[in-house]
Amino acid sequence: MNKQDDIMDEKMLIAEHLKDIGDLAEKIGRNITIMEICGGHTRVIMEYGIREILPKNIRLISGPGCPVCVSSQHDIDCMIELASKGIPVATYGDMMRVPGSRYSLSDINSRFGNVHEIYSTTEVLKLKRQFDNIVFFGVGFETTAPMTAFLLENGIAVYSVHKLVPPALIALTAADDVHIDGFIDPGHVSTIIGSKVYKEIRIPQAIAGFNPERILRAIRVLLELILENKDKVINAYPEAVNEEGNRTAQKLLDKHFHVADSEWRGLGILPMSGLEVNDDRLNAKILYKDIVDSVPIPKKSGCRCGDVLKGTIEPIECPLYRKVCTPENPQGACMVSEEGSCAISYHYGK
Amino acid sequence: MEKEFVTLSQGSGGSEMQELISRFAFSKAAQNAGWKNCDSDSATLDIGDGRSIVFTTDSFIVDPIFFPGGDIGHIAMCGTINDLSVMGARPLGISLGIVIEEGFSISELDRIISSIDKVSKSTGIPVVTGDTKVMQKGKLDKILINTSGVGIIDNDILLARKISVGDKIIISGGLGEHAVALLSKRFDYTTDILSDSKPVIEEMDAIRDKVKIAKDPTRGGIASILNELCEKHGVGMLLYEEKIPAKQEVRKVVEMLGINLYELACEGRIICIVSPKDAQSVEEILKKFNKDASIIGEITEGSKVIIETFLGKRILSMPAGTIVPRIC
Amino acid sequence: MCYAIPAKILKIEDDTAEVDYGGVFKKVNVSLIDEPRAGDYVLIHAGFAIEKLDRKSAQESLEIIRNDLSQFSEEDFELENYRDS
Repeated sequence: MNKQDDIMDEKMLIAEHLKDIGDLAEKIGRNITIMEICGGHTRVIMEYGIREILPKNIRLISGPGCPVCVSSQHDIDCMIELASKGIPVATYGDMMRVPGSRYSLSDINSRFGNVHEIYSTTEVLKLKRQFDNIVFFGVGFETTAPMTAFLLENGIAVYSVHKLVPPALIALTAADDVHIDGFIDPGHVSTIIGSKVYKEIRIPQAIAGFNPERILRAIRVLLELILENKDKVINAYPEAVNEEGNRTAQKLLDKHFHVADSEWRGLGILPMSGLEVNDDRLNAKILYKDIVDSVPIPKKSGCRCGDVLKGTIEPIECPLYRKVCTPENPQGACMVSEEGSCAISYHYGK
Repeated sequence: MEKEFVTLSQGSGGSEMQELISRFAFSKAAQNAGWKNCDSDSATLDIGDGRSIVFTTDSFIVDPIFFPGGDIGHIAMCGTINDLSVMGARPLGISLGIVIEEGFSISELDRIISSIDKVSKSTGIPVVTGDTKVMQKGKLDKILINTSGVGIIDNDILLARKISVGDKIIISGGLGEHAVALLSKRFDYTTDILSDSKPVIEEMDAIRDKVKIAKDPTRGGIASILNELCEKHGVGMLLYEEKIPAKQEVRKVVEMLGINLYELACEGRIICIVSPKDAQSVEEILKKFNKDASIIGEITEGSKVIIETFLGKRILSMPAGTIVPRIC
Repeated sequence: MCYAIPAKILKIEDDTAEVDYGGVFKKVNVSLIDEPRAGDYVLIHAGFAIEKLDRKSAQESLEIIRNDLSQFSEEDFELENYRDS
């Protein structure tokens, strides 16, 4: 099958999905809310203006799908404090500009040159040869945690703020201030953890991939479940997701991390929702306990990232959005990270 | 929050850079002395007889200095020649300021000078003056080049005209090739993509009479240029995403790295605004130079750049944050 | 951070594979994949392969999703019988 055929098939499928979505929305009748919890999904949805082409009674909102954004301000302040003490650190690009109480990692680097932006953790192996005491900031969900485990396997210290998606889904289904009829579950997180993990969460769910056809496919499936009142999980991304997930990656995670309570911006402390490094000798929170303990609890600001992440407000409803908080002058993580709802809204024009 | 030190994103060609530049506040004095277009690629000064001098400058810190399809010398020449060219001017001469780090390889310096010479010979534009300095090892990263250029133009073909709703937007070839060629070293991948760095004199000669405005989308890509134009002229734009050209490999790299195609630098492309009656013929002319040249959108009411995808619409914003450091 | 895109494995040496994304070639780590082979398509995230892509079984599952969800067997999912709406 050549490329042209693929594109035509995709467009035909999309047309079919949209028709089915229209029919299902009409049958459902009432207003419903679907939440996606993956920054990658938010991106595709905004890139193609998908919200606006769905039937009017389907409201699509973004949840806490951006791992940088859901990192607590305190954790971010601790990581920045470590870097400001001159310790060589390595991090993914979208952590660089997240604001701390005064500076970002990028600012620290402008002054001291000790913050190394990496694309793949394999680069940190090289950096370790140059800087023996380098610390890696492990930010991300289950898709990315195995790459951090790889570093622990290679004896590199880590400050882990890795988080797990299913506990967040559970917290959201129990929340009072936002009513959700169904979830679009993350695609590549599911590649790692497998689809059966979601079964215990009592709400219609569809696992989705990362192009318009796959997302509309998942929405269609979800609407069928909602119509029939079925709390099922459908894997609508079988190209990349199976029931068991990636066992090798899971074993590596089990070897190097244990599950612990974790603080999520917007959701508070969720039990058993984060990954903590097993080996104390490689856990930067322990190696640099003095520095970490010296970081004060952050003051409350007008930033409403937390509510945006829960889906209770749209970015545009935050009083700081666009007025004070812009990508050049971000007040919170949601405006900085490429997967942050506010950054995405801003760039795609809301 | 205003910081007391300069940050990397202030050099990226996006909105932070505009903010940094606004501190310099030189344009008032320049305007008082009769200079115009001081915020364009090239500034102009009417010298009577219906003619103007066109003057521009650019500094080059590209890393790596040698990349697939070019080197710092090549883009230093093409960048400045193109800035004059897109104003509709014929460049007359280039100045070459080079600062070299002590210990820099002589053979590499020869390669760079040879590139500069090649561009000069192929375009007939001489390097007429220059300056060379050497800084101590460790105080400069290898080499920095500044080129300035001067040209002359008849006022009635000065390409700084008013644009109107309904005018078409045309790009002279695929996007992002310079950026993708350059990033291959930083992100350790290989492709056949070469930097698109080249002088655009021939294209400009062919279309000069038919276009209202021409720009070269370097740092910040078309996102930067188009948003600047909207702000300057008080218009909006509608782009048809499916018409925007980019090679397959460029699109793959964009996907792989998670970057924005429209923010990527080109070094040999023209984006021009053309009245509807001339759009077809300009596209045809440009296709002779590069088959991917394409009408990609039109000027509208409003103030934003809107992209129409095959599904829904979205806005293309001015780039912010560190896009890609040291791209040119 | 969710970016993961497919590529074809060209050759493998220890834990590193040279892959082809489609005219873009790069070395990635395959230690998270069971028995990777040249010719396999894999999904790559941040320089690591995270899954082998199996076109055939994916096609089959997609057909089910397209046509009739009730074809998914009852054991696959814990059926929750009707929520209060």
